[in-house]
Amino acid sequence: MYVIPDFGRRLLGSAMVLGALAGAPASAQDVELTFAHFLANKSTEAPNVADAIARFREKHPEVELKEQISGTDEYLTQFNVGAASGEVPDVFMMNGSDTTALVAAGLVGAITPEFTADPDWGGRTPDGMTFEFSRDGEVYGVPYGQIITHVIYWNKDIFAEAGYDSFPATWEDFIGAIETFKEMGKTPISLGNKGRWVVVDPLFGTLVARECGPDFVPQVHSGEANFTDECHVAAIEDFKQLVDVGAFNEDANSLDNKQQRDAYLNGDAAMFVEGSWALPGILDSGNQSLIDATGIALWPSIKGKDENASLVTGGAGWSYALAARLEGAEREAAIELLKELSAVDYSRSRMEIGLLPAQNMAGVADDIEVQPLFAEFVSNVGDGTWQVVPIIPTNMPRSLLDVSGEALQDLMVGNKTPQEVAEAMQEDYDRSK
Amino acid sequence: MAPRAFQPSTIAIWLFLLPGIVVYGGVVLTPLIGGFYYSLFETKNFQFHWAGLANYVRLWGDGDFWFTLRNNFIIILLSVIFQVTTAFIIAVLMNSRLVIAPKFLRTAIFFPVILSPVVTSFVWILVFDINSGLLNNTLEAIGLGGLQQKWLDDPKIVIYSVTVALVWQYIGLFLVIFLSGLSAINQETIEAAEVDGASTFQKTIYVIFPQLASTWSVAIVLAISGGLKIFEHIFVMTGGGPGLSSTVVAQYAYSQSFLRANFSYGNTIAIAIVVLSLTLVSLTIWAFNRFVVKDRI
Amino acid sequence: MAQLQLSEVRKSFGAVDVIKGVDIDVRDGEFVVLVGPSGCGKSTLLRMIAGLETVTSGSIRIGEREVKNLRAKERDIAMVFQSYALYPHMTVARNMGFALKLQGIPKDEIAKRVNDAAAILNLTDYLERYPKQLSGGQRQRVAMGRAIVRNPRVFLFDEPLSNLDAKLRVQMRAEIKQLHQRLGNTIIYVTHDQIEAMTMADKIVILSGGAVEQVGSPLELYDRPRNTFVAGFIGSPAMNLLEGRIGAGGMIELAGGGTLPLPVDVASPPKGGVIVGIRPEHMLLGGAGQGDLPLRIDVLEPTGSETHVMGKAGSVEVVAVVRDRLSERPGETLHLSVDPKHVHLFDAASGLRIAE
Repeated sequence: MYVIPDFGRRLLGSAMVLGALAGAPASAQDVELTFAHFLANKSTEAPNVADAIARFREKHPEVELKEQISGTDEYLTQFNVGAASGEVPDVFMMNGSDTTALVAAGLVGAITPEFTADPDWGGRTPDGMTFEFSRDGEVYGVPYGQIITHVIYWNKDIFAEAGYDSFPATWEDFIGAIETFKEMGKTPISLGNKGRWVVVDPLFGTLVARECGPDFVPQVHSGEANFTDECHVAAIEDFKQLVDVGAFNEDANSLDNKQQRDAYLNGDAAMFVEGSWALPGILDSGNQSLIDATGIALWPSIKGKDENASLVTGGAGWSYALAARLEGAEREAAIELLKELSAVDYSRSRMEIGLLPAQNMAGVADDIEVQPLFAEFVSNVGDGTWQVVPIIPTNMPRSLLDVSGEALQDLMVGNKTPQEVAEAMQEDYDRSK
Repeated sequence: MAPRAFQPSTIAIWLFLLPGIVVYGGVVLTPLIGGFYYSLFETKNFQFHWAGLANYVRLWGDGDFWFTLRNNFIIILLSVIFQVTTAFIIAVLMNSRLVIAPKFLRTAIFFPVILSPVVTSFVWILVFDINSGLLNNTLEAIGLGGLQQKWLDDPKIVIYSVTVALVWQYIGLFLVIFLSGLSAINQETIEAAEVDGASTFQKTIYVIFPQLASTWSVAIVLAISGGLKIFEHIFVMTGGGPGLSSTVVAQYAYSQSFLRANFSYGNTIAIAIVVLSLTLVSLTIWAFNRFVVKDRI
Repeated sequence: MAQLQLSEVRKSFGAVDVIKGVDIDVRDGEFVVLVGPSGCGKSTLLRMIAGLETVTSGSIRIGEREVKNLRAKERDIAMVFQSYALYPHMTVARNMGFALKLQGIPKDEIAKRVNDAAAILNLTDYLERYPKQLSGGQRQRVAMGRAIVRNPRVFLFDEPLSNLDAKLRVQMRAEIKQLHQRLGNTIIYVTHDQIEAMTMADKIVILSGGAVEQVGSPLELYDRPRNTFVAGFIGSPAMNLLEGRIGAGGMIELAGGGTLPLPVDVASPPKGGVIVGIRPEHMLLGGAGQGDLPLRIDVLEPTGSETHVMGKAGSVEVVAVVRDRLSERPGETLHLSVDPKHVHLFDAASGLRIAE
């Protein structure tokens, strides 16, 4: 008579079997490791990472390595949700702005002993490169590469046409050049800021360094400096001056960073400002005359603060890190993977496509034939022509990037004053730190 | 007493209801309850600390939230005026003898509805482009160059620009809703009005509109709920910018949760959207029942 | 002089001609019924008169005015629809007053005319109700009231009784006829029911395949159908139509067997084949009339006052209605005859009535 309850019981039974299967442990002799990252498909770095993973698999057949690949935005979403529920992949990419939170939540594992003990690993990584991923003397992440987040790519031909044989050395000259370009009908600085980070990081960050000096980030961390400080507000005003003189294209906030580069590559713009990662895009453009005409520069000296004129923001932004819960064979395997992702081979292949490695390459990469423009990068960073200071967003709580991006857009369209932008940033920092 | 054969056992009734309850509970109720639960915490460093109603207090005083909500209301209002009303007018015209090839028109107007919001947004980006966009080029070509605008970069008009794209994409949905509503009303009443001496406008106002009152309430409810959850179009076209000027409340919740890692506050905003949505929809239905459909038995 | 005149009216949908040149004259105050089988174009024709369908060619005049190209509202007509087409969101009073409101007539004037019409139609108690609260017959009366209040030159009715049950239909038929007598307006009434046509019309227009078969008063059509179509359409049960030829001795020899007399007044009997029409009610038992039609009985239907006999003469189905009560049983043969004055004769080839 009562067939259905019986059927229900069986249904429940099979559900339990399924549950047991899902929870079955992997076979004992293999170590299973998951690696979540977004450096695949269209990413410039994709081949380097793929090669490093292939090398790891070859050296460690006993490890079953599972890649979890997603786009950058999806990665952030998935990672955030996982972290909020106490789950991170075995090996993952950690943004500098999440270091504090992940350390506080006990989710990311310190790699200090292995990292410092190995002269080929920690020994070859300059101290500044782990700044974003270190807390209280412990190292939590291996920088995935070095990035300079502010570079002005400028078209020497257009500058010459405007009467400038070299890049302007002072801010006043630079503003003058912008006005000349406008009269010539060229876009002075091509900008695609729909994603908001282009203004925050490549354009604005180095202005802060120029106004506030090299130690602004550590001073904010220690509470000695605030975003509402006079020098920081002055940096916002410098940026606003660029907006007011018409340095940017009118549709700056509805284009993306690829479009800003395209406008430059088409010869419509005298300059564009992005990070070192934009270089391969120029070198691969196939427009040799434009590549030859392209120079690299930084903001000129501002307000006579010549001592700050060589400062530029840079670091890594992202690192490879491992979960705190790993131990024994799993942890060993994870450490090996991190080493492979920062090995000489990995760094060499970055250089081959025009990207800076995080490791000191002196003596091991002299044979690489690099394009002149990239060679200039390497030497500027190597010989201290450019003095690298910490990136602001990746050394601040995650929310600051979005808050600053929104506030600086509001500034650009006249919805906020420099003081209000500074206050919005400070308010968010106080809430999130 | 009802025949036993038609009286299934209580257990059987619940078993047949179970799949629906499980799906609804899993897909709708659980996230809703979970969302409310997490809105009572403060998120810091990927950890949750009990905060009571602090997030709601913050929300109440959060000017950015109210600003993004204002954007939603602009979209809803313009949707009702231009999307729902235009769809109604087109539907009425297509139902009359005034339109040739109504089937082709219906398909053509409905077509954008099935497109991905991302695709249509890119199309509209091309239309709104300052230098080479269809809109500014056309204005120039017809001698109205003075009307050219920075459609997606001027904070005063960007919200209206993105609304145009929304209205364009979903007008077909409302058209189909109204056409099906029209097909359900007695066509002879429209002819009777014609014989009674009504102009096309009078027929529409006095005869068609009142008979479509419940369709109107459905359409307005859809416009409200759609307008409150709108996200992708604006995200693709402007990213919510410049600044906050085209940000809608769903994107604000998204950026709080995922860009600012403040899940609790993101959940608080989401719960506020749910409450607002339910309130507005209930109010609409109540108002229609009270003032428009009340005299129909 | 509200006269309705249709001349050479045609209507085509693409290559399909649905109205093939119709001429009808309607006198002021006349009750004209358009009748025909479904698909004959009667409703289309009515809608063309109403202005709800365009006219392909020809002319429609109401009074002295050509209305072919005028919109419905400019034609001064009122129409009662098959579905009544009451506005569901309006009360009875507002339904009836809607046309007047559109004309901008003052409110108290509208109320007066609505009340007058309601009184005529026994709707006074229902004025504040909504259509859904009314019975079918009441809705029908509201639909008529909506037409009456306007006092138009022409009333159009499109199968107004087809949604009612049989009893109510008979009642409404009488009411509409009384209304016509009382108001005296011109009425064009479409129906597929020939009984409605016969009972209500001053003049019947029989349509078939988009063309007029015959126009005339009910009795003209009954007595002198112009062709076999009209003969078969008017009258119930329908006229028996039997094939035959003129034989020796001035009698018609039926193809199925039996003989019938020639009609009294046929001037020159045709040589070829003919069709003989006899209405069932004109069949006589035995030798009461002339001729001899042997009928093998299939079914006997006594209704009390008369008996319907269905059977076969040869292989042809024949129906007879007789006053007598029959003792014969199915299977037996009945001999029928007919009075020559009730014999209709049609040409077998053309179906046309053979002139008298």
